[in-house]
Amino acid sequence: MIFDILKRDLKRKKTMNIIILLFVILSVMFISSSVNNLISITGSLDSFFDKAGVSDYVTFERNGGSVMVKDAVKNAEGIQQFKQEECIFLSSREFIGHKSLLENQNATASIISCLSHKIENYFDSNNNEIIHVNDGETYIRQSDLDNSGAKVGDSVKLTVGNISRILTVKDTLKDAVLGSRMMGNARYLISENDYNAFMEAKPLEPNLFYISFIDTDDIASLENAINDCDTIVFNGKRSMFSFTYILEMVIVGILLVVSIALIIIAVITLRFTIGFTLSEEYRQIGIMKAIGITNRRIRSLYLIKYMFIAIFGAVIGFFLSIPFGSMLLNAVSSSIVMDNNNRLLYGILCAIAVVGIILAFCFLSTGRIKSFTPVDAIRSGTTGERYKKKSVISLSKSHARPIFFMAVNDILSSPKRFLIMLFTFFVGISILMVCLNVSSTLQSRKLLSWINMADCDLAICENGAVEKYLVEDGRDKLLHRIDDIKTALKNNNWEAECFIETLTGVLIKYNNITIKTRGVEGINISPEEYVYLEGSAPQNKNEIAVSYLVADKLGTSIGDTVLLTIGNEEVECMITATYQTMMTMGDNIRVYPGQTFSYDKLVGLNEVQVRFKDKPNAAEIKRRISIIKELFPDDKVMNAGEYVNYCTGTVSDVVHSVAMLLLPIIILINILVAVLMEKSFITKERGEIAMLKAVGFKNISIIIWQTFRIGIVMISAVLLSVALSHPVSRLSTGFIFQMMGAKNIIFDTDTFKTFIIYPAIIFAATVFSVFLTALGIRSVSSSEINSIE
Amino acid sequence: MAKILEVNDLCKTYITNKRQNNVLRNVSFSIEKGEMVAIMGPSGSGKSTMLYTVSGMDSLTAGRVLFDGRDISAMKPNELAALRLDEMGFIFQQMYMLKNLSILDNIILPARQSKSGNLSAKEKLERGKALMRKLGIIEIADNDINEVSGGQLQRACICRSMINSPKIIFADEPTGALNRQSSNEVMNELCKINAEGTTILLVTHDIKVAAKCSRVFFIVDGNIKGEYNLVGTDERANERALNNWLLEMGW
Repeated sequence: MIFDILKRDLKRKKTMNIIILLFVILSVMFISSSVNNLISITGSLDSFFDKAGVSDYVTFERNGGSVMVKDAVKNAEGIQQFKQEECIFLSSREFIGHKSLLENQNATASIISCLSHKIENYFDSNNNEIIHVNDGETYIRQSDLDNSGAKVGDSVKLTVGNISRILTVKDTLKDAVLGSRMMGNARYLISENDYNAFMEAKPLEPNLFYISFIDTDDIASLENAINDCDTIVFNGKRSMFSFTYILEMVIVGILLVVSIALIIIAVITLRFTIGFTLSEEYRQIGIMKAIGITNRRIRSLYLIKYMFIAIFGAVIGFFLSIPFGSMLLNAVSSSIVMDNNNRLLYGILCAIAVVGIILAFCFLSTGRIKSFTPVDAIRSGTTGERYKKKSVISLSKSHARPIFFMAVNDILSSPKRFLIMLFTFFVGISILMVCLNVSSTLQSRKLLSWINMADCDLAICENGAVEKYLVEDGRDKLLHRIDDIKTALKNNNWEAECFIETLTGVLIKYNNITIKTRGVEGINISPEEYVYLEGSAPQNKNEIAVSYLVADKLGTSIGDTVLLTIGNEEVECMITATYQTMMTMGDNIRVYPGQTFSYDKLVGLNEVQVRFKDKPNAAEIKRRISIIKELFPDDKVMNAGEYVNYCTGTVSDVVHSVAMLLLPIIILINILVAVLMEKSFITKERGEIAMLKAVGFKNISIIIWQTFRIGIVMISAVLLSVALSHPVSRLSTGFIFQMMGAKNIIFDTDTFKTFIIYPAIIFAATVFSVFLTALGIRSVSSSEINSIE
Repeated sequence: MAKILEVNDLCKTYITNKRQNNVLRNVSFSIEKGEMVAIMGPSGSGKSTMLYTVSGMDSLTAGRVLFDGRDISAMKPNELAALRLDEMGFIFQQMYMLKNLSILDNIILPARQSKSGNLSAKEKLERGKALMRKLGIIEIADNDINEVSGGQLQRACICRSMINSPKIIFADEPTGALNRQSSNEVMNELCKINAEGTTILLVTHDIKVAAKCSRVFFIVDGNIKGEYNLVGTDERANERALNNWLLEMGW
């Protein structure tokens, strides 16, 4: 008999059961694939670094330092192995036939390597180690191809000084140390012959670059020893380099959050459905009790039903998670050599966990069955529902049309019924808003100020900047370049301030702690133009501002005096301010202008920034950029937002693509929840609908009443999401910014897109689905009124 | 007297599981304005179906129903809804009201929904209160529907049916869920309403209820088998006479 009842129930509540099934499928599919991928990536990273032969410590060093790493390590204790590879900075690179080449170039950050110098093992797209590169061919990482809109087989023109070569992209490169999206320096692996040809370039010295792998059991001693190396651009432990792959995990991480939200929504929806089913079937349950069926047996009826749905859904979800997970993993596996470990096991465990959670929840929710008595079954005229809440507003005091009044009154009178929807809609919209906020902030002009960069209207990125300016007379050349830009702008009647930032390796000592960091100096700009977290800008050469990361490392605060070593010069400086920055992952100090420096010892150079004095609007800036592009045809000209995106490794684009992936998922979840709710409302309110029809309400009025209620909930969810958008964004993604060096970010929202366009799309899709579901009231006949329980 | 309802050769057929079920077979009758007519008959004879079909709540298979001279069988669903809202009142055995509204709000709901007439929202509210006062339930105006007795709730349903001053009230077992005392009170109210000129067509199993009407149709197997006119004013005598007639008809 139980299976007969079960069969009938599955048939009768087809839509509701299908929606629950879909939730289980989605939950299992998402959680299985994201947990799988997360475990795979974190597990694979370590083995990838092992296969690549990455040592305990890695340094990137420019040529020409007073003390080079290979010499400095001789003074360190515990060194087990030291390997060094020579590379060359590119002056420019150009994908042949790609119109977007200037828009996407990042030439100064790219290097070339060849296998004969290698200290690291490289892998191709099939995870095979690259043991030979043909002349005229190159391997580059997938993210660089993506950013340039290029593909394997395309040709790329590489230039160092006066030497250029056109090479064919043979395949993509999996490069453990420089392969992550967060690493700005892209490597071009070329043949030895091509490499030797570039070694003939003039000038070459400024472009030479060394990567060192050091195995040691005394990192502190090593770091102490390399403090004297003044041309180290970047250095860190192996763990820091594997940490740079965090951005590759953003999609997987966000989907994990979505999965957890989905499971919560599935469980809450299930609770609502069970509650609804029990109140609807009180009579049936009462009769079963009256004829002597025990509570346990009745409860098992429902448990079997949901167990069947949960297991069926989990099996489908698990199988769908395999291709879905692989699809998500594709983005990551193009830069990491993935382990072929048994990933199915995690998927199965996740599926079992979801089934377990659902059944545990079912068990708890069906506890109400105990309280039903046979008398409930016999009683007529009531639905078994217990009323608690009185109507809170009055039609007699309202001027609203009855259907609108009824919609609002229903929500206020039974808020619990609508809270599930509010929660679901809020969670979905909030997740989307967070992604959009992060994406828009990471390409917002305002971010410049918040990360201790000077505000500007545009930036000009010049090819070959390394060999031009990172030389002894670089400062003069740079000032000359800035003057050229100013003059060109003035010729167009645009008065503008032009400035740039240089980075030098510095040692900073406080008490007994000495750390190596980067000194940032603004050329042609006062330190007062920057925004600080605390304190005031340095006013003279004996004052510096430090990033909060440096302050934390040293244990200093504003007012403390530190000993600063720049080149051969030692100077005592007072800390006047702290700031946050994303440059060099937040690890730098700001020095007063004019202290620098021998430019051949510079470890980095930002782009020339331009700020017009007449404060043009965005449209005018766009117009001017197009003219400036014609004035400097070999350079990349970006507006402030694009410059921020460029500086942050186009993370914004990754997060935006996640948001676009989430949009259809959120719409689907909203539609499922809304349809489920509306279906159950229609079933529950069948008598009221029949009565309204009997007294003369038209179908369309009743449909509007039903739709309007959910529309109100949807609007409330949007308003709530908008109101909490910034705190939720800060709470959920603050760690990403902190990871990049900024602990106190004010999100810059694209109001129109984030608060209007996307919520409007979700609103329209959800409300339309409710409207279509509400059309079901047409099948309720007013003449049924006396036969409806 | 003018006819408010004229039914000719009304047929209603349901098709269930490919089987044809003729619930009403060529039913013809008419009701004059101001009449109070009861429909009686055994269970499953088609009483409620007839009530719902002639009131436009359910579609008819064949025949013609003229309401106040208009053919409702040719009307579209929205026209029928407007007709029910403005010119008809309904009372049911199940005292359906919207759970989230107070009694008074439920009563004035059809008035607020109606676009005909020139009454303001305030006047509609006053009319609702006046009806409640008249039926002796004004004290429950602000109550929720679960806070009142069945009798009070049915009287509230009567108020709702009267709110738009209908030409006719259709009542399906209006006392079916009430005890005897409540049943008497409700019927007395319906009689008063009828006495004031509103036509009433009701379905009942209760001879005491039917005896308060001016005419009774006895329906068996979807056909009116007989019609009885109650002429006297003595309720007990009417009940006895009706009882005898019903026994003759095979009740």
